[in-house]
Amino acid sequence: MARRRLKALAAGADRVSTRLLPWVVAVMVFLSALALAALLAVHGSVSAWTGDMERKLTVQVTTGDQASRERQVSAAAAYLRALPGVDAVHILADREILDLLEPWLGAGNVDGDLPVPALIDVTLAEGATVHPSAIAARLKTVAPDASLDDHEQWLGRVRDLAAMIEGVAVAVLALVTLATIAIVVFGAHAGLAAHRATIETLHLIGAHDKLIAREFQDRFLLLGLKGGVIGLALAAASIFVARRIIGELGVGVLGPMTISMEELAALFSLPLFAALVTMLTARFTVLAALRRMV
Amino acid sequence: MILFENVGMRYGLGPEVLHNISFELRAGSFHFLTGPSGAGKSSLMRLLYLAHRPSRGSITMFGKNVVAARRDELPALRRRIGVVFQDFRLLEHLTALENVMLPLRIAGGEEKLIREHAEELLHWVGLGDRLAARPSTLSGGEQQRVAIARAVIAKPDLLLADEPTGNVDSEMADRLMHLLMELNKHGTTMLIATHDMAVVNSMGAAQLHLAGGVLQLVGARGSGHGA
Ligand SMILES: Nc1ncnc2c1ncn2[C@@H]1O[C@H](COP(=O)(O)OP(=O)(O)O)[C@@H](O)[C@H]1O
Ligand SMILES: [Mg+2]
Repeated sequence: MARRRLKALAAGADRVSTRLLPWVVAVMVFLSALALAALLAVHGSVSAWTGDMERKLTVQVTTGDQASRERQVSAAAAYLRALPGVDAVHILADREILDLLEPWLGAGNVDGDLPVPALIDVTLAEGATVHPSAIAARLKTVAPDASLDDHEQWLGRVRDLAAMIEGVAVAVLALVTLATIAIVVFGAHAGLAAHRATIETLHLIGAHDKLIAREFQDRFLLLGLKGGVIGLALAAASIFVARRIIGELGVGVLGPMTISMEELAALFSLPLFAALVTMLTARFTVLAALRRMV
Repeated sequence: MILFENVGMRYGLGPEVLHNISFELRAGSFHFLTGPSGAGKSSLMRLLYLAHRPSRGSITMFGKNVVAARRDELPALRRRIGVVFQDFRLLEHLTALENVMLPLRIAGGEEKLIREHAEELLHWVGLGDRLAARPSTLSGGEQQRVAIARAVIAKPDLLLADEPTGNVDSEMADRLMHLLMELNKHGTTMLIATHDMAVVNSMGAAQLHLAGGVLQLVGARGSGHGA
């Protein structure tokens, strides 16, 4: 049987209860989109950083004696190059080290006399299993002033921070969904009350609950979609502006500021998801209420 | 076709408004339900159009025990019953034509055929020129005829009319009664609640008489059968 539409519910009767619903859904979708964008940005940046860092070891040689330092650096580099699983070993020139410091100390405040340690950048082969503690111990024998940093501590903290931000974003999404459901339940009850006489008449001339519920769910689907599109538009504008500002600040730590197709799809699915939640909530609310009627 | 046995009815926890009602309506019969205002006519009608469940007794309609019927079985039963409500219950935002189409739209069917049929019926009740009118722009008698057209469009087995002549002058009352008689001749079982004895006497059909929630059968001169 074709899906029937009665259009039996007067559009004006429930205006008071449904007029604000699209705006509420818009706010909900807006918040969800921001939470999702934050989640995706953190996720993307963290995997960009950690992906690099997980394959990096840094060896630092600290001694004031320049001759000893140079000797130890070449001994350490030779040892590291010979290790299985090591892809590349790069001894940083003084200029490169100063460049690394510049963002922290400010341009022009760094001069060549600044005492800096020697740094060796080690890149591991993809999938290599190395034991940093064993390497560190062996390293001490060829270069006593060398220390090894496998960034594990820093990576751990970054991952914890990322997990926390992701947890908050997921919680925001869940709470926003619950709040939407609660608001739609109220709206649907108000709508039911506004159409009570009509619904009773429809029942008495032989309408099934499902047919009546369909009238409501159609209406709420439209209201939800309308709100969802408004919310997404507002969120898209905000995200665009935020990206522009971040881009202009040149805050490189935030990683690549591009958006993938998957992320775009996730953002665009939000209004659809909101409309679906709105529709299904209205349907189940109405069906539950109708079961208590004649 | 309709069998009431020792039926009692109350609204919520209130007093019983119908006591020990027992009667039978045979298929194709024509009865008036008479009695003074407040006697319980509309309440009995509510039981018949399945808007209310009795507080005791048994009701059999179309061979089915409707007291024990599940909620999801009611729509199919209700579609066999046409009702002209005392207050019409036309949907205000639909046109006269759309109101008449509603029962068939609910039952499902081809929109074009439903529309043709509804137009035909509105012509039959003399409202062929008011198809697109909203109920609020129609007179009481016109609304009554829209309500009658809506009640009969799905060709119900049983037609219930609650005070169908309550809002019209005696000439219109006569015309409406003849409409209903005509339907009865086509096989629809009729029960018409009215406190208007002039109408009852002019028609000479059998009566179920209610007084204070108690039913008495009054001499059947027409096609009706009582029990
Ligand atoms: N919705 C209701 N709630 C409570 N009592 C009602 C309701 N409708 C009718 N009654 C009571 O039921 C009795 C019968 O009323 P009703 O069936 O409307 O009589 P009639 O249609 O013969 O005038 C009256 O005492 C009336 O007050
Ligand atoms: Mg009455």
